[in-house]
Amino acid sequence: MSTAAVAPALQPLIEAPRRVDVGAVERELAELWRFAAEQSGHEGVVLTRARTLTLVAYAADPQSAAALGDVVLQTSQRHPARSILLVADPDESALRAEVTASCRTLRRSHKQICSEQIVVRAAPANRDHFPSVVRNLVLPDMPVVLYWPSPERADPFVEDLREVADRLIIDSAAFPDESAPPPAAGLLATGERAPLGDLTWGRLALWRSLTAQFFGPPHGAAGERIRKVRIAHAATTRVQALLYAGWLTSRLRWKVAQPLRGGEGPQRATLTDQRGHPVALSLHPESRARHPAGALLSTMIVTGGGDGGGEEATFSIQRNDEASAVIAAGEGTQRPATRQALPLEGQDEASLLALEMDLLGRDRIYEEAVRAAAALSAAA
Amino acid sequence: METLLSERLREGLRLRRQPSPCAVVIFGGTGDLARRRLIPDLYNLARKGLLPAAFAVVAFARRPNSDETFREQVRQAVEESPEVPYDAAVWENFAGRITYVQSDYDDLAGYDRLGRHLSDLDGRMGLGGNRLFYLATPPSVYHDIINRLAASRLGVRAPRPGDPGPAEGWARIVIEKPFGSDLQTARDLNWRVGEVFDETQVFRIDHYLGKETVQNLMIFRFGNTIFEPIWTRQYIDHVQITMAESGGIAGRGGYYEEAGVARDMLQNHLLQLLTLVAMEPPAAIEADAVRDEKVKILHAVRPVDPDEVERTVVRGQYGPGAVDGRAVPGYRQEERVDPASVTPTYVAARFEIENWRWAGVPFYLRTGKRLPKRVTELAIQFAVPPLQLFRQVGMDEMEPNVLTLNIQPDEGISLRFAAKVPGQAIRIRAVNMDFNYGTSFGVEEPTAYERLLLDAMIGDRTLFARRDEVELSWALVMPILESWEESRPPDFPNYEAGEWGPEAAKALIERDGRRWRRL
Repeated sequence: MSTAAVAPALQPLIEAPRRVDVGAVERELAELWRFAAEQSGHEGVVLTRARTLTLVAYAADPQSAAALGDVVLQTSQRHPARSILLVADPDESALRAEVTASCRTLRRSHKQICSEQIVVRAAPANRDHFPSVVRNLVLPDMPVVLYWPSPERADPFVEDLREVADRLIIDSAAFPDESAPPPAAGLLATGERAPLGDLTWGRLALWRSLTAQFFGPPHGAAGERIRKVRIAHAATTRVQALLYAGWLTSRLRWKVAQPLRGGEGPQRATLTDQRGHPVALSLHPESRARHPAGALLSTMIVTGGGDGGGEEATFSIQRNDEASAVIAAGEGTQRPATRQALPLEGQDEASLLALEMDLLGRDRIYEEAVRAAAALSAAA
Repeated sequence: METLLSERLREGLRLRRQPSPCAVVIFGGTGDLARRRLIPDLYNLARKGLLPAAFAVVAFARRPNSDETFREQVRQAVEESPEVPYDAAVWENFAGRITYVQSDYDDLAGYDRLGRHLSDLDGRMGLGGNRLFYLATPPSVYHDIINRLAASRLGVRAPRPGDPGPAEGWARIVIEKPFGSDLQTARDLNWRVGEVFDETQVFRIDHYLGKETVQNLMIFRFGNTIFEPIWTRQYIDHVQITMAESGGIAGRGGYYEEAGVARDMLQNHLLQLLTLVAMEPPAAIEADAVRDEKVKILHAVRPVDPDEVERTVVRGQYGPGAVDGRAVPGYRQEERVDPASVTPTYVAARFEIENWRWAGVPFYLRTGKRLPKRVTELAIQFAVPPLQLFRQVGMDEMEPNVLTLNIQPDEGISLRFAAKVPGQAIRIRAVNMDFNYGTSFGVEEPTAYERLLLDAMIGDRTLFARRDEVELSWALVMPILESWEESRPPDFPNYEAGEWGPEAAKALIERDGRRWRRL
């Protein structure tokens, strides 16, 4: 393995975070940068503070705050940001803040690129103060992204915080898989202010790209008559499989004739394509070690044959047992077989968050996929 | 050709365009460029999922090799590449697409074998008859290859409007620089290429144009409101374009003795950068609209008068010296270099563009080997403020604003402006505001070749030089080359390795009351 792709390690700019009153955060940050500039000058290092947006993250308890803080910090490598981590902490009696900064050294350079982090803690009963704190601390006239993996639906606090943000990023896979429609659908309905992003959508990026490739040349014609779609996913949550199915349904303008049905085992639905031909869709939960809960394990699309005619072909994408790569294969009666192996990279939370942060506006394709997924699961 | 279905599925994906299935045929497949750059970059494109599922690489070269031994050679190159992460599963799949055809470049039978091999691959892999021919050979065999491609019917002219029926697949040709060694040879090569391929099939590659900052130059100029209005002679004092290399000729003495710095760098890279800085906004960001504007600039550059060459162009050759604390030989001591060589390794030139926007604004270009550091930048130096308000506080002359576009090693943009030093007194200091690609977008950038290979497979010619661009650039360089050939330089070597070129280069710009930027 070449070392080229390994990102330089992040180093804290100061030994320990500085505790400050919430009202003194900006002043303390200014002091921190002045101190850092002096220090770096002595060491012959050029420090650059980089801030392209404000990233706000919410942790509902101190236990999840540490991991979330780490994700936010790693994300700053790709999107240098002022990050504000809001922590609901039962041990806190008042609002309290900590400031620090982290830097990475550019390759072949004496330059260090630094981002600042602010942690604000409050007792859960006082969390309603967080939106006003965030309003005070966001970078002027820069985008604000709110990362909250699984916000409670219909909670006014969520909407208050969302009011401050330009985008809300969730992780559909972080919600308990108990419901229809999928949780993102409910958040879409209320999200006029901050469009929605979803880490689970990023997990599907490679699968979507490979599926699109199937129906380019040389198999383009085969896609005109898709008969069957079979999606296998790791138990216990089906949300990723559902979103993939929703994406196919919305992009190909299929209609839901029969929503998904079934119990603990496979779920089946019937759709109709634009010409009125039926498309059989099935979701299959499988228990497999090594794979994260809900991860797509394989997809298979069968085309042609039957009443609709067209080229008979099978297109499959398969995650390998090591969960390190996917194999995409296409095989038809009229065209040569194709096979591709691609590494399954960037599936960690920080990479997926960074990917979602590339887009700051509305993701129309995602939203249509969520709505289609909701329609598919309407009666499940 | 994308289908409606795949277009719908591609909506919202990062790469909206995907190349159609094709075979990339690399002539000079065992050379350094192919083994260390092209094939690792193709592999990396495959690793990123940017290549079509039906895809093949055919290396065509003189050395005897089996598919297996060649794959092993390039596997090692991929593993050793500092820019490409090696993944065994991806490599295994990619390696299965690499094949090798051994032949001399002038042996028609070899091209017939290549044709049969490609037909076989079409049948087995569904490549649709699409071929991208990449000339990664020394230029001396370009004519042989093009002639044999024509004779073997592998190089097929794209159908023109009105031609009967569609052709089976497409054929494109990528040609590495140097594109000719002077205006006449460039015209000859263009003529020969044009007999076999339509201009829409020809991709003349200048890898500098694939670099992120070079492309960002257009975004910077035409995607921001604040810069374009001041991008004129009213506000810009002059422009400096520097391409400095700390390295020597790296064992390429034979080539360099023939080429020299003007052919190697000035005619292509430097003039390409000049056109991008100076061109008018194109009607659209598409191949011919952009290239039309670049060509207009080349037409507007005032050719150097042969009598003026000595005054407006400086040539240099490095002697022994030290770079980065290490003693290095002079050019004449390099391998395969004539000990009395008069080949220039440095050039500095002053150009003027005679159009409404740029009249009176000099463009200073310099490039050379064995300079103190490796750096490429475009610097736009603005005029000083019209009124010297701060003269009473000891500031006779303000430092001018400078906008710098760094192309290598750290791609980014920097703006220098004046700021007050904190304190009671009014003291003014120039400060830099830096934008660094690595800072603001901590993402892995594609290499220039990755981008250009993908563009060639997709058929997007925006970042490739058109025939008229190449010939106009040669026409601008010819008076310089001819003048140099007529008069031997009296003082070579005239700069030490590790210095910023000869003294005469300083005089060239200082004569105008300006100075080279200290880099």
